[in-house]
Amino acid sequence: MWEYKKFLEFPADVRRKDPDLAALIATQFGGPDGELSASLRYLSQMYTMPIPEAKATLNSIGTEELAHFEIIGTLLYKLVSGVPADVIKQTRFAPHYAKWGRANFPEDSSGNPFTSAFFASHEDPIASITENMAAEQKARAVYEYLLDMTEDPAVIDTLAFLREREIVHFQRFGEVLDLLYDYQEKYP
Amino acid sequence: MARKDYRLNLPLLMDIMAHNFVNVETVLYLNTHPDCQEVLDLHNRNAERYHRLIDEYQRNHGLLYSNYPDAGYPWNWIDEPWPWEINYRS
Repeated sequence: MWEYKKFLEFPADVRRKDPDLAALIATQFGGPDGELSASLRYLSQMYTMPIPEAKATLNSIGTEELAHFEIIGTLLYKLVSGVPADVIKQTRFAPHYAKWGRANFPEDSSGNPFTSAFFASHEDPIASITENMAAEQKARAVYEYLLDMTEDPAVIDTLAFLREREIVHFQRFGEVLDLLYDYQEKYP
Repeated sequence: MARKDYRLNLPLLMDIMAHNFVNVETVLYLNTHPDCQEVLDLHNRNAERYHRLIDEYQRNHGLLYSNYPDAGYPWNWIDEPWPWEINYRS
């Protein structure tokens, strides 16, 4: 089961309100390479993994991605909370506001709602872990695109932290892949 | 039961968050390197410190886990600020 800890994995802050930026960062809340997609991908795949290292890695990283979903949610909340509607009206955030107000909703930066069609969960462990390595690289790339979109030093710190986590996860999944090949060689 | 004045202690909370992050890292590493004694020792040292800090926080500043066995009166799990409401640079 899961238990909530009443703190963030990283102290996510913003220096100033920026609804335009929120509309872009939203893609990491509910978009194809976003944190919700990552979390549900790994927490769906873990059950049928053949080796304990793979089960544990998917469980731990899937859990960490939920903490990242919360970090992105925090950025979105802080970027738009208290911004008056007549200011939001002039920004890219206006279509979101028209549907949801200032509430967070899992969608991409164009407003397409979250879907599990963003990811796969195969019984074949090589297929799943290889998918995950690609997913971590795609998420790293998206964080780099987003880093190009802002000069807010607090937002940059947070996006840079999340970008680094993608690299660590890629490394751990690579190790799991090697262990899976060893396993398949031993028990073909 | 006397009411206690629980309130946010940001420096202590940040210290807890830092130790929590070390735990995230040692767990991920150990999952694929279960025989690494060096990281296991780091994990255990960090976790011990983490639990001491958590206990200090929950005794004096409010709940971080809803199952803490000595929760003060009145129930303060509901107290603000929630993690997304804190200005960490203040």
